[in-house]
Amino acid sequence: MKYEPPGRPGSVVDVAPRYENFIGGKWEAPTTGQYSTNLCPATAKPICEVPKSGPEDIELALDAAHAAKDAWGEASTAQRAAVLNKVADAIDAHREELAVAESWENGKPVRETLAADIPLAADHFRYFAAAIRAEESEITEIDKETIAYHFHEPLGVVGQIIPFNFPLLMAAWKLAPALAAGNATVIKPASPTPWSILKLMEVIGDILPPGVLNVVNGPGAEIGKALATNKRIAKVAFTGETTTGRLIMQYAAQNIIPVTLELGGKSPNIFFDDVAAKDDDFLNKAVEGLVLYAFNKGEVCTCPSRALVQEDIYEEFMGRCLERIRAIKQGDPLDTETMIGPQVSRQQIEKIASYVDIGVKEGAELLAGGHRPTLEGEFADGYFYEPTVLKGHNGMRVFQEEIFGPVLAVTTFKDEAEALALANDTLYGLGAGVWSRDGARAFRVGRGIKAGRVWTNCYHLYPAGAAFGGYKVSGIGRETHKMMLDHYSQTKNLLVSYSDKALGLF
Amino acid sequence: MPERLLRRKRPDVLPGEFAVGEGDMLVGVVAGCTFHMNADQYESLGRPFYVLDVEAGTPGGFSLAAGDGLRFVTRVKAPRCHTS
Repeated sequence: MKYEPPGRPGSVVDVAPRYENFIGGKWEAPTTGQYSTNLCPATAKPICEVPKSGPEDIELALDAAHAAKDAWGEASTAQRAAVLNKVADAIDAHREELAVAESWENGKPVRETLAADIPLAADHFRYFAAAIRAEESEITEIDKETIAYHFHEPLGVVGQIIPFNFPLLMAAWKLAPALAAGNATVIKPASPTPWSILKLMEVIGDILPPGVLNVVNGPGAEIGKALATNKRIAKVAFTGETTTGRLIMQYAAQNIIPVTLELGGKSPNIFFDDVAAKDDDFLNKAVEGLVLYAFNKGEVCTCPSRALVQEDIYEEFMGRCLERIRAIKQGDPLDTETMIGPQVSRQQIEKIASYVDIGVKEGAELLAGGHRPTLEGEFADGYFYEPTVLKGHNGMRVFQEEIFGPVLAVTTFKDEAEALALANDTLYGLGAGVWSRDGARAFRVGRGIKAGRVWTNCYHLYPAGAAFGGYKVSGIGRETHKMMLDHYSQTKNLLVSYSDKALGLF
Repeated sequence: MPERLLRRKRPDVLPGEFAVGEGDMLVGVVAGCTFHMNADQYESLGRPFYVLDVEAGTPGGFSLAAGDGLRFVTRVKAPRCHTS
């Protein structure tokens, strides 16, 4: 089926001509009085206007967050969990509306937002509602009369900067643990996707106490910086590219506050020859596993953008994969049959085209795609790029640099040792995939890869409960797991003596 | 990302904003702004020439605009030599 684009008659999504910041539970116009036009990447036409805020707006959001933080932080975990569960219920109740809004703004196919982004976002709130209820303080008996109590305390007010590739799910990954742990937050959405999170605020804004969650839109260099350098935040969380992550760390160093970072990747996806030993469901799954580089048009930090295929099955296996890639349906993101939509912005397609050009000039062989497709009608100006495959060697730039598009770099390996060496020959260490019918080999290789998440005989699953984060320059911290609560908490130790006896030193 | 460190960012970030380290190589100076990139990457790419350009568009991430509706881009001209 096809969903009507937001704002048109019959659409499940209403669109106002102009949106405001969400501060202190209210919609507030930016102090700058300025707005920018938010474009739909499928059509290159405006969706609505959003605030082009300045540093003053960040201060207002921080005022609201500081006014709210004590009451929220002191609320019982049962009360906070109840709120998070209501947030999850509201997201579920508005699944189609949020899925269509996010899809239209980001360009990702609605089949993905309906099946993954939105249900996973709701589930993240439920997971952290459960985790905070189950969290316990710890007691250490130093000796019979001396006890160390360890309490978890909220940090206070945190700053969170959200990427454009999963505007709602990445917000949920950050919001759920921060709010569960008792913090108030100021969120800065990514510049290309400022609106869908405001639609989320329409859905969940009334559930949270005013000021606990604030959203300010505007240019990263101005308000992202104003947030990350602010003396009134106790922590900054960022997802995005690695150079910016380094800048965020430098900002945080000025105020000596913790950071969590989820940054770039160039994830290897390794296919051992035994995957092709039988023509069965598993082989079919492995073929899909390679083609998952096109998931969310490759705009995923864990995009399996380097396929390493054992050389004796390369021709046969890659033949099947290319057939599957050629069958990818590209077009209207709101058509549930569409598998790949447009890239998020014009800059992204230019960057992709430039990398494909670099790859070909370096001697890579173009096996699929490599062009912008010609689409008809209202999608003629959309930011589409064909799913592309380049064959080359791991030393090429297209194997080493994050492209953030539907571009697969594929090469072959002889044996397990070479597979591991190629997999680890990268600056990054976010994700990886290992495909084999031999469980012992898959385990060995998985343990050998220097990456935070090694999908084994699967890829692109993001369940709450499985820790996600980077090795090497791919980041610091582990999201989507209860251990993220530690990243949003202080530890208070009360070291208590129940003895009446003096030390006897003075 | 470190391999593009400051190649895109440096001209986009105000001078003095980004603390550079020993792994960052000074590639050039443009209008008083130093232009750095990761030294290892610079070598492995064959010491390419970079052209700093301005084009229509909105800057992404923490990049500064080059003007209203303009952004900085870098283009690779040609390697000076091929290493590795």
